[in-house]
This record gives sequence, C-alpha cells and structure tokens, in this order.
Amino acid sequence: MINIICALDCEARVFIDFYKLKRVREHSLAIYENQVMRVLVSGIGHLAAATTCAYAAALSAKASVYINIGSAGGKDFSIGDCFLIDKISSEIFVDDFYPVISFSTGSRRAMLKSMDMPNAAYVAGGLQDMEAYGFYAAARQFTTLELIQCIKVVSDTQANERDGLSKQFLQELLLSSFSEIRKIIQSLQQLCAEYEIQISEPQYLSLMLNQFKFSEAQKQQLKRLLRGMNSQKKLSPILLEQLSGCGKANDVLMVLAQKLADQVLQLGQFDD
Amino acid sequence: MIETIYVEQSCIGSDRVQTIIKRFPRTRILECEFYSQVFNRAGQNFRLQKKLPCLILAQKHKGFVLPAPAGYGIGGKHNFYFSHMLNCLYDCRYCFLQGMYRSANYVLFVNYEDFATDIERKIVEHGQDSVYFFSGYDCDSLALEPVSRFVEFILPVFARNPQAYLELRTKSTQVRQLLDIQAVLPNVIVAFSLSPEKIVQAFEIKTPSLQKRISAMQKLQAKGWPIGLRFDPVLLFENYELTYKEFFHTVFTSLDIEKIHSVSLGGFRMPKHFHEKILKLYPEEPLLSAGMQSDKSLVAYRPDDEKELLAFCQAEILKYIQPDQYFPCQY
Repeated sequence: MINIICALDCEARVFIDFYKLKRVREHSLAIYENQVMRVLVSGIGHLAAATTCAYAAALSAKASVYINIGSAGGKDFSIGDCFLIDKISSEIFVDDFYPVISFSTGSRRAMLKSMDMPNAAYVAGGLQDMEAYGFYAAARQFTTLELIQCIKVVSDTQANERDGLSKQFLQELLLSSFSEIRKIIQSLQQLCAEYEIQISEPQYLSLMLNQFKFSEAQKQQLKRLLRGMNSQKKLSPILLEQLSGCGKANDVLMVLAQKLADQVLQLGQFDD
Repeated sequence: MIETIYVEQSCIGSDRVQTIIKRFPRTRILECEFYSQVFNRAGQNFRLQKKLPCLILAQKHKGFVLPAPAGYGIGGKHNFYFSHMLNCLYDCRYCFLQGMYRSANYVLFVNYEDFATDIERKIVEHGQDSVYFFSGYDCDSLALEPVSRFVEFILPVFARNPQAYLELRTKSTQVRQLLDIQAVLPNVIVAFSLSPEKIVQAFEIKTPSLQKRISAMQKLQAKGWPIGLRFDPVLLFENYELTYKEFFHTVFTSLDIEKIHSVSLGGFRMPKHFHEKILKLYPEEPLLSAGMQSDKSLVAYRPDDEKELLAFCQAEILKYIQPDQYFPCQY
C-alpha cells in the first residue's frame, strides 16, 4: 500500500482525483483509498503528521510505502520548485533524519527543517514545513527506511506570501509537480514489491503451523527451510503430503533440512 | 553512479575529501556528524539500498589493523588485515558482507595516514619476521581506486618495508595506476578472486567478466606485478567437475604460471547469523540453500561434499602449479 500523508485537503486533492480514491467514512480521519493507495489528511503540525502516520501503519501491511507530500517555504528557491527531501531536522528535536533514497528519478533534493510554529525567519539553504519531522519519526517505526520519503513543493518564499495562500493555489501547486511526484511513487512501488518478496510468508507455512506445534525458534527455522525449498522450486503437494505424515514438528524440520542438504544447485540457464 | 555523498563534518575541509568530492560535480553532498548516523541506523534494507548506494566519507578512530582469521594466509608468519573501506561496489550473492552490515552504502575512511602508521608499527613490532597485510576483506581493493587512490597512497609504505607484504584482493580491472607505476613492488601481490564465467554471470553481479579479469592479470604480469589467484569460494553445482576443469585450464593457460605468486582455494562457508540475514534478504536465491547445512555457528556444504569438491579442484590446480605456490584455506 502507498500511504500519502498530506497536511491539508487541498494538498491531497490532486492524488485523490487522479487515483480516483474513495472516502472511507468509518475512520475519524479524512482517509481516501483504493486497492493500492491511501491518502490521509493529517492536519497541520508534527504531532498530527506523526499520529496520522501511525494510524496509516495500523491499516497497512509491513511492506508499505509512506510519503509525506505537501507545500513548504523556501526563501532560496522559486515557487513551484519540487524537492525530494534528503535531510530532515527539527526546530525542537536534536536528531536529524536522512531519508534513504534508493532510486534515481532526477528530482532535485533539499534539506528541510520542521518548525513547531509558523516561522517568519526562513531557513537558509533549505525548506521549512511543520510536518515532515513528525511524519518521519513515526514512519520509521513501521517499515524499512527505503520506503519512506518526503516530497515538498515550494509555496512561499517570503512570510507575507504564506499568509495569502489559498486552497486553490496550493492544489494547483501540487498539480504542477504531479508528474514528477508520480515518478517517485512508481519507483517506491517497485522497491516495495521487492521488499514484499523478502518478508512474505513461504507457501505451506500456515498449513504446517496448524498441523504441528512449533516453538518460536522452530517456527523461524521452518520459515527458513520452506523458503529454501521454495528457492529450489521443490515445494509441491507431494512434499506437503510427506511432511503431513511426520509425527511431530521436529520431524518436519529434519525432513526439510535433509531434503535441502540433498539439493544440488542448478546453473543450467547460464550454460556456455 | 553515486548520487549522494555523506561527509563527516570533521573531515569536510580536508584536501583529500575535497578532491574526492570534485570528482562528483553533480552529486548531492550532505554533512553529518558521525558516519554511523547514516551507516549503522536500524531499519535499513541492504538489498534495496544496493540499488543505489551512497558514498560516506569518514574518519576511522581505532582498529586500523587487525589480526587475520586463523587459517588465512599465504606463507606469512604474522597475518593482518585492514579495512580502509566498508562495503563493495560489487554485489556477489555469496558474499558475507550482505549479512554483516545494515547498510549497503560505501564508507571510505579518508585518514589513510593513520592506516599507514599502524601498518608500519606492526611491521616494526615483528622485526625480521614476515608480516602480511591483507586488503579486500570488507571491500574490493581496487574497484574504487580511481576515486579513493588509497593503493597509490599505501604502496610507498611497502616500498620502504620490503620484508612486509601486501595482498590486494580484487575482482576489479581498475589496474591503471598499478600499470603506470615505474617501480613494481615484489612484496605487493595483486590477488584476483576468480570463478567460472557461468558463476560470474549467475552470482557475481556488477563484476567484470572472467575474461576481463584474465586480461587485467596478463597486463599486470607483463609489467612484473606478482599475481595471486584466489579460487574462493568454489561452489557446488550440477556438473561442477567439467565447469571447473575447463575454468582452471582457461585461467592457467592464460598466464605465466611460473610467475604466479600464490594460489588459494576455499569452499563456501559463512557465519550462521550472516547467512540467516542474507536468506531473509534473498529468499528466492537457490545458491544460499542448495546443499547447505549448518552447525551452531557456521553454514557450509556437507563435509563429504565439500571434501570431494575441494579435492577435485585441488587435483586440477596442482596439474598446473608447484606445491609451494599453493595455499589451501585452512579452517
């Protein structure tokens, strides 16, 4: 699942409209989703962003993407400039975050400082917002760092500009960077698919767990062995039948370990 | 292509760091306080990061030169290794580095002088005894040399200490700097890790082909550099005998055998906790499971299978070289 957390509805609107997301009324938060994407409107501030991110995580599988997308101030840039954030600091917390960017999209990068309150004194050389730090601090609890990103579009370069920002302006601002943002989302989807391979449960695991009583350590060993057999393309109904005939959990592990040790690596596809 | 370089604040001003950064004019430079903030943090995924690793420039503060593992050596009385760089540009699927570090980013320790000081201290400590230093444990010794120029820096240490030896373990063909050097050092061995081409294609991702490595070795031998051949790990697979037979023939008939410094041979083995991490990263990879068994601490082939594999390879190797050129890995 791609989780996009925006502070404001007008920032989220472009994604809701493009991906045809439906409002899910059961939640107390404003959540819009389809089968692959969820947009959550958090409200302003780092606490709102963090709690909304946690809420998203509770609804999501471990292999999920979290992106904070929104507007930011930046006096050294131009309005409409879109940035992938690679360093997040905070006005009130000491630690810095360095988002892991494991894909190449050609997007410009910037540092960002999250402020506790709207601040007239703009950060030199970077952007400022109020959500990214809280968002990132929360998101990193729930998935691998490579699937967590912040994307910001410059909405104001002077304090007085920020006061005049309308909902329509912000919506159009995000729309202007949409194709770039979409490329980032697509890159993250590919990474997520690869992460899912790593963490998905091997075939027959739940069948074995239902049939035999495994300790926690044995369960980990079972996962490892089933994955190993799967990598050899040796998981089959015949094997399942053989395992089902075992007396106890340890016998299952011994049978699998023996079969795996008996396997010979095939390199046929790389023949000269 | 490196798109981000992290630099520890303590070394951002150094000439060496500035020279390295200048090689990457379009790369994003980010300062950090300690490299561990980026390299050691929890929640990273080695496999995903390997798609676009960053470079981290940092200073090492201790443990510059460490004792080599027991059974690891090519004739030296005292054996040490050092890691001026963490992580490798290549992506070999059997490599323990996948399970050792949380991050796939490259860390280059730029305080080369401290490595040199510690190496010379060790040399002095051991007087006239032969002391061997092994590079390439945590990285490839030459792959990043055009950027790091570490080998260029460290060679004079061995020029002035001819009783000490340096092994540069590599799969790389970045040998230009060695070829450009006026005076070849007889105590510096360029040791190539080699596998049959079908293994290179299947599991040694991003590495130069066997033929390109052979070509690099030929050039180095022609220049006079001592060459080492490292058949490690040899792998067990269907019809390995024919593949390895042809492979050894190709390698040895391409080189001046008499001038080969050393040949070593070792089977696949890995600490169990590294292996488990790598299995989680690559659950679909057949190499990591086929024919393997584990005891409390180590994953390897079954003893009889390994013995047969190594005996076969040894017999083939010894058809070409003298016994005093041969150093099987002793575990």
